[in-house]
Amino acid sequence: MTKLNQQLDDWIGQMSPFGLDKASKRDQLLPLLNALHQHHRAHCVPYANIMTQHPGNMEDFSAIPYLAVRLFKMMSLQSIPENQVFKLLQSSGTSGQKPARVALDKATASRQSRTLVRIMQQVIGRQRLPMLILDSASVLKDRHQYSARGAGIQGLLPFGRDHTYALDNNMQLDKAAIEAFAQRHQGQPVLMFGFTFMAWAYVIKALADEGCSLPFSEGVLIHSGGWKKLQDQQVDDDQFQSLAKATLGVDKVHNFYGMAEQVGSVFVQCQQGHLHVPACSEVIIRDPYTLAPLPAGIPGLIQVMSILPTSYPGFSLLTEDMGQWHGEDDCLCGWKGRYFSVAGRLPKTELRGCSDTHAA
Amino acid sequence: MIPMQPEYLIKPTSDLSQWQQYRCLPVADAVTLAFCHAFSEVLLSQRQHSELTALGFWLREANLAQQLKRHLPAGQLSALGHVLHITPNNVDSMFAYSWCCSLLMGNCNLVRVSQSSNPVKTALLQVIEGLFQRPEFSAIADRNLFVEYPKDSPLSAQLSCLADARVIWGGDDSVRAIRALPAKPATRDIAFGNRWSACLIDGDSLVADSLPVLAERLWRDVYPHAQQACSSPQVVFWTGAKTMQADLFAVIDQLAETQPRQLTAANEHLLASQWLLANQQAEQIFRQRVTAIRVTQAQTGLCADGFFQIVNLSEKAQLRQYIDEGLQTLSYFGPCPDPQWISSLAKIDRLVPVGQALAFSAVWDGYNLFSELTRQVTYE
Repeated sequence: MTKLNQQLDDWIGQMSPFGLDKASKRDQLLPLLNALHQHHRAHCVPYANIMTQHPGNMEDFSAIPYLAVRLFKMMSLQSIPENQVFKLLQSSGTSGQKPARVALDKATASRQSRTLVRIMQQVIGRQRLPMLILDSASVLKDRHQYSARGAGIQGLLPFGRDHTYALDNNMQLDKAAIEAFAQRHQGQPVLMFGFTFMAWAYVIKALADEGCSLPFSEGVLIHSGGWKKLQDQQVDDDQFQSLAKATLGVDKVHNFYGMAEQVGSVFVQCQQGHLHVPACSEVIIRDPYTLAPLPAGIPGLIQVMSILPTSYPGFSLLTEDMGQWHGEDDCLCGWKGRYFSVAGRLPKTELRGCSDTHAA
Repeated sequence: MIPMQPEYLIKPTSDLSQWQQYRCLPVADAVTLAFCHAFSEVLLSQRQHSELTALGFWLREANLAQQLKRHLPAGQLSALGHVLHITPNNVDSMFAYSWCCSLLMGNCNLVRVSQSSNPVKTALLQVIEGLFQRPEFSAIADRNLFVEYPKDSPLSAQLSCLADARVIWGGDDSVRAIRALPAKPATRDIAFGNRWSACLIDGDSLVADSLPVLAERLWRDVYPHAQQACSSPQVVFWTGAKTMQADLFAVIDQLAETQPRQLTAANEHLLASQWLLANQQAEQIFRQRVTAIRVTQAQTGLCADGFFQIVNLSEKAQLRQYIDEGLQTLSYFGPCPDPQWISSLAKIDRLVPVGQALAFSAVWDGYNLFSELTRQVTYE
């Protein structure tokens, strides 16, 4: 247990987040994923029960077995005794669903934070920049909403300083706070973070509607949380980027894709607009009908693998997101590894049955 | 107060207040039988959806004659009156059966169709609309309204007060919600709540030659409505030899491969399999398009669309510990279990050969719809 933790920590310590090519990744990551499979078989009885037909020693990434991500919403799955649970993460439960419950011990939690730092530094830099959060500070106080949005903000706070919230408690632009922030840091590089839809609707659009723009010339906007609502409004990444740059005064905009079930090993958008798989992860796209792995360019279900989790068996998950991978090691941005895009959620299974008249 | 008006799915020839005034037709009237015959012909000529083709078969003259002969009570019968039908969300054509039973009995019907859109429902309503436009069926069109409205609309309450009977499809919660609404003192409720169904296979009766036949019949019970009709078996109880278990599902899989499937099915099957494997002693015995998983405790309502939970029994008598009052239909392969013994086990409503699980009958969930939807007049 501690030996595997040590091995993973050492590996993360020396990792170059986007510097591992296909052959090296296979050599270095595959043994770690195999070790994680054995670790969770030994320490999580339900995982072992599920995996009786997978004894181990997979020779290819696509042969690594995976759990359906929603299983974490249906039951508790952990590979540590209860007294070692350091933190319980909850995913955003979509309406009517129970949120996922992810148990972290200190080793996994700290590995997640360190990995997030290593990856984010690739786009933010090492310096802690003045930080404008495109959300309301009340999100952190509201215990009910804290789980999803609050945890996301909390995770990014260490990358900045002089944390300032752009929205008031009513989700209106807090002009006084924004102006004061602008005066303090005018002309300097800044960091901004927000959830994709909220950043767009409440800050970027709100500024544009008022004909305002912020007086920065350098800076980076990091955003995450999914495109669904923006897709409904027919806003694509290009539109998002150009209006964000025009109103916020940043020169770089990076989306990232991640989930509560695999915190830390996030997939960051490069300058070419592609989400990149970092060195500690792998992504396989699977045919939604057969679950067979798909070649580049064909949309399917996204399977994510990460070497970070030892406290819960979530190192290989079949998500309910659709996407496709575009290439490997050859993105024009220069980063190694697979790069991909996310198309949206798998539609909800149609309710069929005699048993839901009233639900309709 | 001006009564609310629902949205009519078929252009009505009468509105709600006129509909209330119409008098019922005689039981099994010639015009009703002619309508059912024409309805059957259109459905059988289209053959677009297996569910509607099955309905077309059920409505054939010969079958209706048999249903009436077997299930119509003796004596002097007349229609009950005005019947409100609350239909299930997505077992898209089930409501047509109970509607047709009510129609045959001469009643005036108001059918609340769920608001979810699906192609089978749309096709069905189009066929009915086409028939209603024929002048010879104007008496039917006047007396039968198809409406939709949001579930929280006060219309359910308003319509309940007009009804002499309420035919309520739906889960237990829906049934409770509708039954809680005030109705006339003599209003009859015919309620179809949550049920589940199973298949009993005798492995000793299974030989290689009978494998394709069993596979075809079991799949016939499962494929329509994506296995989510209450009568479709989601659980398979298996007695006797187990040697051909995996083979059976391999043959079913070949049948399934030729049919369209849902985008979400493979992921749902994976999730349900993993949940079962994690929480009990279970074993995956087949997994491609269809999934078969051997379990010690079946979980009904967990997963459908080609998902079979198999419970091995060392002897038939063990059934007792697995079935509860929710069991609606037990279909069987091999010798027919003793009906008296079966009905002593639980509140089971149907015992039918495999392949017949979805075959509708005027007697359903323990109700005889013909007698429930008529008044029996006695003469001395």
